Amino acid sequence: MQPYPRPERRPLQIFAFDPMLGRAGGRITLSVQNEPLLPGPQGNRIQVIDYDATSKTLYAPVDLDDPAVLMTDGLDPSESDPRFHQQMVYAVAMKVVENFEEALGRSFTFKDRKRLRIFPHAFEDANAFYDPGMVAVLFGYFRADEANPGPNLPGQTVFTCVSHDIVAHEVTHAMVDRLRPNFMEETNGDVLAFHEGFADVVAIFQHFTFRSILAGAIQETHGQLRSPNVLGELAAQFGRATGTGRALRTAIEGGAPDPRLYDTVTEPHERGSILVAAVFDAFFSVYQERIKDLVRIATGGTGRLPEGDLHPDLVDRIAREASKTAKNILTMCIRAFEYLPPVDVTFGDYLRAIVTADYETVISDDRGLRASMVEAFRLRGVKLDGVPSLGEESVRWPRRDPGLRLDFAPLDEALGVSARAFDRGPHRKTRVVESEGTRKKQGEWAKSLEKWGADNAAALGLDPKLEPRVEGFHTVFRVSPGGQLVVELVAQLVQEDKAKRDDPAFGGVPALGGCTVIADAGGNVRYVLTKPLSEERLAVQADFVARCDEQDGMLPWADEAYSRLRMKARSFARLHRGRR
Amino acid sequence: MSPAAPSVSIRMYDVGFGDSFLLTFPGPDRPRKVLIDCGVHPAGPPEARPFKDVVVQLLADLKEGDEARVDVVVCSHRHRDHVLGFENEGWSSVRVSEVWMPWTEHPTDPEARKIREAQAKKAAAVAASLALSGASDENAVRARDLLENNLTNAKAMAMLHGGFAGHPPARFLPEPPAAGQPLLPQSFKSPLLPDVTVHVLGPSRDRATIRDMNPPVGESFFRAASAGGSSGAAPLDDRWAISARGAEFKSWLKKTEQAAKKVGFDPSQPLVPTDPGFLARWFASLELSGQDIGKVDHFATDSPLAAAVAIEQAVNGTSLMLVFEIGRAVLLFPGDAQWGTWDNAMTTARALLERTNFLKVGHHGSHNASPKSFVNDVLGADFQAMVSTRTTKIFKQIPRRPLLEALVGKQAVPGLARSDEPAVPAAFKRISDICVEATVAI
Repeated sequence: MQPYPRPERRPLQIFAFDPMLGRAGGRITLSVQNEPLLPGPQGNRIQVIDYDATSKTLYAPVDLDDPAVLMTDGLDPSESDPRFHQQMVYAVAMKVVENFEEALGRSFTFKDRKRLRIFPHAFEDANAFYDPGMVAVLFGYFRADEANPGPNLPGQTVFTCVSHDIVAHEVTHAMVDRLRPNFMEETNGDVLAFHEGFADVVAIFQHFTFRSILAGAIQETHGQLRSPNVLGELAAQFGRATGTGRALRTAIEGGAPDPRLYDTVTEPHERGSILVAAVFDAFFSVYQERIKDLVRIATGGTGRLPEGDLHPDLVDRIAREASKTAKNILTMCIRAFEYLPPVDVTFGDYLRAIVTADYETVISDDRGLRASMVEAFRLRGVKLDGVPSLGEESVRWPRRDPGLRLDFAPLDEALGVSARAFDRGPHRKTRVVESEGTRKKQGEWAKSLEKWGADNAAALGLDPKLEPRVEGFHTVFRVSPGGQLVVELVAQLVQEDKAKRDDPAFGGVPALGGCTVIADAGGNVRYVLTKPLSEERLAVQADFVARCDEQDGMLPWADEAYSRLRMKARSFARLHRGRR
Repeated sequence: MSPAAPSVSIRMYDVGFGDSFLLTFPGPDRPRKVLIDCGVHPAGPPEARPFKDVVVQLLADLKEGDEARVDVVVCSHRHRDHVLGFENEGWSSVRVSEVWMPWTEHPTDPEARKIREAQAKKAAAVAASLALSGASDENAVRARDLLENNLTNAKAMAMLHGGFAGHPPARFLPEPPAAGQPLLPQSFKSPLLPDVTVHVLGPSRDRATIRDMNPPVGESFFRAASAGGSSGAAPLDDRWAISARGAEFKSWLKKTEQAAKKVGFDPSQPLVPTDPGFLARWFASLELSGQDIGKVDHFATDSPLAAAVAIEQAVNGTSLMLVFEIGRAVLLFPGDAQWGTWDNAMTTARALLERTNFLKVGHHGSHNASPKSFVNDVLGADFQAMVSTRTTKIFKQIPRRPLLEALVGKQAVPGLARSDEPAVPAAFKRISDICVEATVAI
């Protein structure tokens, strides 16, 4: 008998809304890549391990290939069955990985080709975090306070792992760490805030791509489609679980955003919410533009919808537009990664990366996405170094003059290997296993790239005295909205001034510089995004450390080891103790 | 003391690792006295004599004829190193006209009560769990000292709340502002201190400040404190467990690891939960080492030092930050205010701070209570400073030398007095082995 064709996708149920938020549960079914799974679930890139360190228990793993489970699109949502929790963290994490793969146009593996480990019930605490050392995401659970339960029932056990937004947020930290490992180094006040804000952007906009959720919310507007309240409310609700909700709410309700925000807010979660609010603003203005015609059709041109329930077809169409816009924004925000320098990111860099990456995909901005994004950042006082006005052209990274070529020898070979790895045709193998040979080859490529970097140090803005190391090299294949295939080569080169390692002024953060090089398939370098190892930048870095010192209550009481590596300890505490 | 020109004097008592300052302003009938704090930290008693003797000396110095008298007692915040001295019974015969405290000490203000209760509850939980753990390494000792500094100090606080002679009323600062006025800065005059304008610069009541007053402390401390160290009820039903639970987990893990090692994992063979031998093969497929488990266990354990510091910092954050202004004299007493209060003060009262000509260095000269931006950009060249401090073996970063050097570096005339150094610059006068005096012209 012929074997049945293996289905491309695997449907899995998750809670539509965070049960923590008390909004009547609800479920949605996500569809994720159908990869071979072991009980856990354990796939190629995600491995769920249900060990609880507080009660010292290992919980039985879910077998998503069991026929009983397959027949119901995975287990039904349940707060008490850990196997459903395992299924949900797997599904949401996979969705995040897929959104990154789609946006970046390449397949994705974690650090050292490890699997990302997810512990859905790691400990009892109102906390969840990504640990770069373990390449793991750990979720806590806690009992809601009897006297002050917040949105929960008093005494109820709350699991952070059944919140779509918390899971997506933490997994995004892991993705960012994979794409830009040096963004864990707090070289300026934007770095960790970017981590937090970006993680929330992914969580919120991924949630917004689920159309059925939006349809419910849109029906509730009762015709007030132009008011940002409903979608904003929803975004704020999503953000509440992960930390930026309050800021988002203020941003939506408070009218014009405060242009001093960027200069005054320093706590990473709060500062990150500036980013979230700006992206939400841009989303909302594009969405409004896109539903104008629908509203005109539905109202015969008056723009005034009747009171009472909207026609379900209209709701469905509007939800479709909202979800499509969310997906566009999400893709745009992720795609920007290729256009970020390898170290020392700022919000300004990110805005420039968003705009440039989008421009390189679609030259005209007739969708209005870029203009809205620039405006939303400007309104919050985000500044760009050396850019006098915020017109799109000046915001875009400057294109390099032709002449510099990424002519390192194995270019063609690298293109071929990457193309095969990202082949999404219907007859592809389900899993492209990298052979030892490929790995070895990649090592050789890295060496040859490093040599290229050293040879071209001046053109790349690198320090000729320090050896560059390759932090990443990718070939990117993506399809523009116009249907064209865009191929790019992206290389990250990083340098460290090791003599500054023990400088007490840096508190353990290395003195890093480097560049991201973007070339076309022919090897012509189009962009070089450099953070030079300049005295000026290091002075900013030391100044940031000094500012953190002022606010660090631990410094007077701790030992010298703490003082030496105090920035590391602070970043660790901020990442790991962020959710209380 | 009979200076030629009218002036105000500030006496710093060597209480050890703590604070006690006595301010004397000229008055129409008699000089008016303000006492700011009287306490010592568990980590650093004075060297020359027991703390108690310092308090007795201070009480004697307050005598005006037969009666000891203070016009205003200021309690900057409830830390032991600022209030312990008020446990002394001698204070009940000191006539005090008013006691000033931060708004967080208000007995009935619901927000204030919530903050005090949270701080006390958390300090107690961390202390209890630390005691249960029996840890005695250096960080545990640090944590214990810090927690001791943060216990409720009930006896001293009772004295401050109406325990002096005459049962003086308390003022909780800043007071609710008039409609439409900002809470901070707040300036007032008091008949007790003629010609003196008092400016209140902190603590604030805004959301961020209140959040900072509510320290983050891990659940594990409460669990330990309430359940005697054992973990509470498991969050998920027993039937879902594939392992032994709790205390037996360790031996289960060892046994399972051995079995897994023996069978190994062959990815070409299906792995079905109902198959015999599933557990060992599945465990092998996880590639989970004892070290990995150890790391998760470690994440589930909170650091008592970090928790103790968080509580310490939260209470410091309630510090009353005051400026006494009379004539040309602008005397800044920031308590142990932390960044949030400083930041706000530097924004809303910068012009006033720029005129500071006497500074009580915050928090024994440590790093986080005197922002670099204040020292570098706000403070002028014409000021005297006093720092009440003590070098201890365990807290080596206090006082912070670069900070003290930066302060002296700013001064046109050297004028930094340390409570723990017998020699003081010429600008000051040593009154006794435990007391140094500064004089600021008005």
